Amino acid sequence: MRAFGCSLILASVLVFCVSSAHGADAGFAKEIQPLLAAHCIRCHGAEKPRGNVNLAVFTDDKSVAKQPKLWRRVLKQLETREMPPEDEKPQPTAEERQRLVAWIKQALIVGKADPGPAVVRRLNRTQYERTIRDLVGIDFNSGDAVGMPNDTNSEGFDNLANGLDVSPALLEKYLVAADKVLDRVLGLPDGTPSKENFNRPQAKQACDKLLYVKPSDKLPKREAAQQIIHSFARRAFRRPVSAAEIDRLMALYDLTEKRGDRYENGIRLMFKAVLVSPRFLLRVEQDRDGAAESYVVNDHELAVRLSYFLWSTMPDERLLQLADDGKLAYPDVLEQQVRRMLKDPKARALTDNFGVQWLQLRKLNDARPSQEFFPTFTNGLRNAMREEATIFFDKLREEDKSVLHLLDADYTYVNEELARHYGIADVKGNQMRRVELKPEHRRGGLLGMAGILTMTSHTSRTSPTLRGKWVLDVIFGTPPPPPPADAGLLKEQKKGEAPKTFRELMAQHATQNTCAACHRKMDPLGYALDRFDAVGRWREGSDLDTSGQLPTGEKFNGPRELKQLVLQRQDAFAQNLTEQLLVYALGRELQPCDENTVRDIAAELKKNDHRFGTLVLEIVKSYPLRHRRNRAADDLE
Amino acid sequence: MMNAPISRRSMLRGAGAMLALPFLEAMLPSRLGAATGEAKPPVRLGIFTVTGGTVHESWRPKEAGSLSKLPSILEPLDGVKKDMLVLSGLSHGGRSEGLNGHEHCGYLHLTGAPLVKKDKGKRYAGVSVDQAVARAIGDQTLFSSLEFGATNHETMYSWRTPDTPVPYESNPRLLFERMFRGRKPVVPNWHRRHTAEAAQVRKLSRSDSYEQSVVDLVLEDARSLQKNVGKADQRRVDQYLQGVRAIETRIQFIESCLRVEALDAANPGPSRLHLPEKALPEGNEFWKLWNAAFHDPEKHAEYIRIVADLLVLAFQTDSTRVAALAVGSDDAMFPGVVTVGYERHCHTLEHRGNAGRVEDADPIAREALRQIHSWYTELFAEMVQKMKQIDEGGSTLLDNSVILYTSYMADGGHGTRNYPVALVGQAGGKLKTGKHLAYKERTPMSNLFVEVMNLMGVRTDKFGDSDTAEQRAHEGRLPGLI
Repeated sequence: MRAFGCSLILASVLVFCVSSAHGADAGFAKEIQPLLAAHCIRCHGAEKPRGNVNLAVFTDDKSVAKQPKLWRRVLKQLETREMPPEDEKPQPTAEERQRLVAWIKQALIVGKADPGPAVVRRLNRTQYERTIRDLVGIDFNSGDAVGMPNDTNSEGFDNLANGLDVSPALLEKYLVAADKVLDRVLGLPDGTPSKENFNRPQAKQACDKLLYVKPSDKLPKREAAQQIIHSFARRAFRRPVSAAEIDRLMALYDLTEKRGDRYENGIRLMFKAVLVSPRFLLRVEQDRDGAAESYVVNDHELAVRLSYFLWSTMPDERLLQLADDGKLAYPDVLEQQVRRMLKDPKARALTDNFGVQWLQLRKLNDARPSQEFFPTFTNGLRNAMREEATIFFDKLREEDKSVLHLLDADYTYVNEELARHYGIADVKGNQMRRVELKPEHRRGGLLGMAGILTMTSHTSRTSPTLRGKWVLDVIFGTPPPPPPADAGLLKEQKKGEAPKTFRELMAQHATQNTCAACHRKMDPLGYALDRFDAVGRWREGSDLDTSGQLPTGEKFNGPRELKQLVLQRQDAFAQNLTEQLLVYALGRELQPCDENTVRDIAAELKKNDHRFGTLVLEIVKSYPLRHRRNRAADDLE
Repeated sequence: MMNAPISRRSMLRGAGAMLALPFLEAMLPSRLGAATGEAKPPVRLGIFTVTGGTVHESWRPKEAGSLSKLPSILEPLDGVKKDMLVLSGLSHGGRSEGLNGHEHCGYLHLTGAPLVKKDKGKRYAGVSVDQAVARAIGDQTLFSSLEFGATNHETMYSWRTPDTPVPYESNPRLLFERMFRGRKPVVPNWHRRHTAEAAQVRKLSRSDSYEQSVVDLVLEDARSLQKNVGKADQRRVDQYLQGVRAIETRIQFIESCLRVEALDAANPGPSRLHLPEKALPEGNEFWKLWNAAFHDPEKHAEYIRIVADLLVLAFQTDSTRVAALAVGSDDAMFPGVVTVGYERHCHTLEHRGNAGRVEDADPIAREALRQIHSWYTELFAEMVQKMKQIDEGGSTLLDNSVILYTSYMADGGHGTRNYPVALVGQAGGKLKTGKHLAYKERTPMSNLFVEVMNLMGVRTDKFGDSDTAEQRAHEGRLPGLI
């Protein structure tokens, strides 16, 4: 299997077309349809399909390949024996299960290597801010300064191309932001410095760098302006610029000169035009005339893909230079660059943008533990909780550690307040630092982090359901469908009613047929974590029932045994992380054609001790990141 | 570096100079035309909405009819009793899918939608009343509407389309700059605005500003991209082109408005310009104030006063005729405002002070909530009083406005029945104020939105679920209001 994965990767780098390996269409009606009919369609048929999953519409392999997300979920649930539910009779035999699994895997494989649909990506707010910072050279939160809307997508990443619309209102923000940036760097149009509060020495330095030549006796103003805009436009457009492009910009300069305006205002007007140009705000990769097959992206396109993936910003001079020289795609150069970029502080963007969104850490801001029950919960503690998870992830990146540390580790990062919260002695001061964990601390890995435990709790109590859902969703990438519209919430205690334990109330709710299938998957995972209270503190007490059993049969009790279970399923975790990071890197949802890519990267990851750097490098080397194709008529938006 | 707002460079830099057009942060109305002249000041719609609902027994006047002694939460409005209508019984009936209690109420609040939901991360409600009015009359002013104050991703009140919530600007400095960047605040001379001279300067014409030359260039850029991307995804580029064209029209409109205001500047209206009393916090000062506000009611009040002042200024200078101001936070702490019990956290109090029946709720928490809502009303009353002081040439700004004072929840338990609703102002003399109108419980809140639309000159007979709600009544209207 390993050799197979390895050779496939080689093949995908060298060869654009891999021949088709499937031809099971004829078998569908005979082999597969009866199995689906016997074990699936009763609940997942056309009539009120459970969880909105209707498998009756699939009639051949092709139709399956068109719904890869759904079938990947089916695949996972078959493999983990979550489906069909154990109390559904008859159960498929082991052979039948195997046959289904093998068929789905095969159906999901598309014959020809395909980089997926071409997309035009607008810079999202974060990328825009960082790009402005690097392009102009000042620390300036341009998005905040003009109140740019967030590209928040509460589910999924905020850099997915199809979520990044361009509205008139947003374009107006770009125009204003451009003015504000240029006010700071070049001063106001009347020649006075901006009155706003900012780092002036830095702005001066940035200005000197941008206006790197000065008009003199030997260098006429117009020529100086032309050199300046040439260098600026090349960096802003992230590629070589044509003479025609420069001429058009210089027309603006000429206008200011005609009106007798200041030299700096001529530069300013050109800069402004660049900063609101579609060539700056959109990442456009141009189609190759008449190319019917996929083709390798050019070096500048590769540099841009690379830098927005790893840094959320424009390529630096080194990358641009390598692209200019046509060397970036050399395998050794590329690997060297990826390693360099991962070590660079700018790669913190992977944590801030990918890590934080994947782990859903923004939800921690919404946690509102009641003051009465949790008087020690302060904003400072909330920040430390967030920092713990982000630093933990960031160190994986920086120190190229195994991603399995996210599941279990013998260290974490705390400051005094968080250490007290965890009962870890001898940590003084507000600074977050690494501490070694001992078994009695009962922490280590995401599932022991107070931030994650807090954001999956309610105001005054834990929520086993939310915690279980988080594990399914974030760790394994198998989120349960949202609750049906008629699902009730837990009824508050009525007067005169015999008190029920929380677990009894939950059990009552979870026996309703519509709710049971999902709750049986979520709740046991959450109950195992009930040793941690709603702000993630360890709690003792014999009245806590933290035992659970999954629909797949595994029994466990408490956080430690849950962690064992999760570690047993590390392959599913690694594959999920691969998928998530690939989505983020490509800026689009995965397609059937990405199935092989994911499998190969996950295999390579496993072979290399699950190192984060391997994951990133394999994604960079992967077929969809290195190739593109012209837009096909049947590509979905 | 705390400049008084007026001291900022505020004059247009003049034709030919580097012109940064001031308002290019506004939300664009669906169409733009030259503002029409009016002899009379226009009617403005303000929405002042607080968090956390209310405490009904301390809010609802006991008797319908003429307003006499006001209940304690409304007491601060005693001075404008004659300019006010209290409406009770209004409720939302819309269902929700995939939303929590705050989102459910937040999405319904100004939309009255029959169904609000979140599906695959995408949100749906309906067009909100402020945006519906803005779409109809927004082409008269530089800003079709302004939305500002404190909201979060759960409390989304304004919706331009059923799936496009409008972000609220929380930073007063940015709001001020948005209104007055490169533009001097001027008190309109409403009598003068209908003269032939005003009509002449109002005409749109092609701009010769630098801004226009930038627009010309990027339009060309986008067109050439459109060709070059071949069959590739053109949607983004098309969107970009449309956006730039909208800006082009807008540049002309802005210039026409500025010419009208320049006329007024020489001969302004009778009242003094109402600038915020406190300097607007700049840069990090804002974040300091913002973070402090939710722990310290004094800072909180300071913030509310600043944004309320900006609403008054926006209306006085006719920057917009539609403004939604969100105030308060369920997450705020109220030490000093709440003087009973020991809990000061609003959200906790809201849950504890509400239950299926009032008798089951914690009376101390309920009293605490009463204190909080009375505090909100005091701040609202301050704003209203300021509007009453502004003479627009024979009538006051309050006379020419209708301000809806309400909350996104009916009560702290995510309730959607019996919202606190007061209309303050005369809407240009159209409202029969000074009364408490008691409607049957569960009369759709959407009926109020129908009335508001009509008050603002937008003729309509339905809004939200006014014609489909189970409890629909009065053919979608509110009898006795006008």
